[in-house]
Amino acid sequence: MFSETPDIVPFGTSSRRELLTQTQLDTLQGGTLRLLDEVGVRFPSRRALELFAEHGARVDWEEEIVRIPPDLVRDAMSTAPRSFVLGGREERFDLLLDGCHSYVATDGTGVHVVDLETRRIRASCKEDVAMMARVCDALPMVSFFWPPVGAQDYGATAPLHQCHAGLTNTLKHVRGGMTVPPRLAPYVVEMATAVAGGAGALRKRPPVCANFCTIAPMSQDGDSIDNALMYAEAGIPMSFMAMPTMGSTAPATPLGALVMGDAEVVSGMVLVQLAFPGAPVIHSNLVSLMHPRTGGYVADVPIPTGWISVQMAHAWGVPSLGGGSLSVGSPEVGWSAGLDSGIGALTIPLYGGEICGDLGLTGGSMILYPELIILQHEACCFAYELLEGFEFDEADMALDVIAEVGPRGHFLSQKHTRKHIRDFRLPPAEGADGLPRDPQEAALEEFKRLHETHRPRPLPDEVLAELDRILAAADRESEGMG
Amino acid sequence: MSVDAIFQSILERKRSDIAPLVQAEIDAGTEISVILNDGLIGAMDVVGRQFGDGLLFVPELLVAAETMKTGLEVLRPKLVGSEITNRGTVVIGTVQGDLHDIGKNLVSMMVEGAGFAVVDLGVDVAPERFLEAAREHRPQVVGLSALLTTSMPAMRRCIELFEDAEIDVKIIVGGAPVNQEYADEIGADGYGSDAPGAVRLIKRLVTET
Repeated sequence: MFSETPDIVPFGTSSRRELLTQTQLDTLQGGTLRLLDEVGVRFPSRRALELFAEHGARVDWEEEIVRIPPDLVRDAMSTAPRSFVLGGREERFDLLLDGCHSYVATDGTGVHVVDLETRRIRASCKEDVAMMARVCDALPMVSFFWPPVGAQDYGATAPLHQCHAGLTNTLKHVRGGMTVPPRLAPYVVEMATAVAGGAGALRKRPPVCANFCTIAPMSQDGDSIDNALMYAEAGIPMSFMAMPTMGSTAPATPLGALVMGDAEVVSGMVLVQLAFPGAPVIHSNLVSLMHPRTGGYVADVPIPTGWISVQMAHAWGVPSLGGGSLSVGSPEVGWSAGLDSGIGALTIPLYGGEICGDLGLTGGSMILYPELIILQHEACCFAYELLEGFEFDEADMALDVIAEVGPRGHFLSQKHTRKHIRDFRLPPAEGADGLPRDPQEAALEEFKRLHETHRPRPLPDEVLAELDRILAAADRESEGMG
Repeated sequence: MSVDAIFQSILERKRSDIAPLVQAEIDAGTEISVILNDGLIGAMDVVGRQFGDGLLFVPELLVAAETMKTGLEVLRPKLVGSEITNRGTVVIGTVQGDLHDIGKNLVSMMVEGAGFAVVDLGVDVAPERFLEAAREHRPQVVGLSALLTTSMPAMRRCIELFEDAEIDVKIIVGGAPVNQEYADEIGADGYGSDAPGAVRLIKRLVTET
């Protein structure tokens, strides 16, 4: 028997606010255009350099740096679609990236897992990805599955196995296209095509999207760029993700990091638009801080860079990934993690990035405590109910019931009370006796329950067989690649 | 003693001051070993302690190391053929699939500033290249750096390759996503949480060797 996957729940836009004025946004965008035109971006990809040169960008072939005139940037970005769909297994799991919905996503890609049974930290493996996909399938606020950890039990094909574990264990959209050696990228396309049901269906409702990280400052990764062009040709949507770190790989000011990250992201999107006008692209600019004492990665700086990034994405006319994050910086599950998640959840509907969240990881996105996602999901539910879930129905004023009880009475025996008393979601971290429980213990119990009982509907047998064939071919191809 | 001025220029991170100061000491006939040990290395020991005590931030540590390295470059021709020997040799690099080098460069400079010879292989270094360098330079320690979670498995492959080749060298790991547990799991001989920590670790491992 299979389990029913609940509908996904996006946040709406009723509470939306914007931080920057149009003049401030224009100033930032002007900075991006100036960086692209004067400083340029390194593209260590022959094909990318040729494409830029063909369209009038200035190419330094020796340094592999491209300088893109403002008009070329604007023309290319004008062909990027503002709205498109990331497909799920069924249409009810589709994500419509249109600026009116914010979908919550998992985070990726960590390398350590706190084992569900032994509670010891170990290296992540493919089964961890499958486990998280199954549990996330049961959590309605999770709309977008990014494999939270790597399939380290595989070599060069690890990203393909992560994609496979996602596609075969959840009906939701899977971010399965991570950077692979370019020879292996066609296998990602084949997997996505097999699950979508053909090349045409893949373009219409792609079940897989990709993500490519830029390299701060002002560089792209060669393999990522070659992957991006292959995926764009097939119709697989992709995000370009800048991760400028203030103080080390970026200026030590938020605006400096924002404008530089924007230039990196836009350079990738411009290339894709020049090659395949209209290809779906997503803007992601995640500013962090270098810890001044350790040099470590401080992901969640209490500065609204994520929200500004969303505005910048929308100013370019493309959807955004980011801006409202539940990402947790603390090394373990505790009050700090809870605070991060709670505040992060409340910001999701306020700033309206199309894909938000980053659920599941701690310790600078390195460590997976499986049960953390249960607590973060509760934070999302709480935020949703607070900001989105309230429906005004005049009948709910219950004036007749109040009149019937009158002064000095009580409502315990009212039929109206019995009808509505179950409408409320009780705090999850409490026992049947109503007393509070240790939140982590309660979350672990709920995670294990879902892990043991939730069995998403599988893909058809012929698709599963086709995925196995594709994976086996990719594994053979990767042998000897090191 | 004007070696103090060299010492002080590192503590105060005055990159443009140090080269003439070192040259002046050489010209004055100050022993090379005094310039090196009391000036450059001695100052970096203090810088390392200040960083460990939380008094210095990473950018300040970096500039102090760069100041030391500038002075060392002036001194280097005099070290060749002298009786001053290195504390040992360290091969260092960022592992395959990873192009990040800020942390690796900082460690490299700090290790050099502690009196070791450093062979820096750069970024995106294949395990085979580490092995080749170890055979060529016979280091006491090989340092593997990674910033990307996706490139961490290359550390494991590198250690396995060294084990298969039965090369007698200590392998240490570091970088933002790495921790002691991961180092233990892949069989590394040590983990450095930051640049001064890497220097302390290397000194200890070399002493044990």
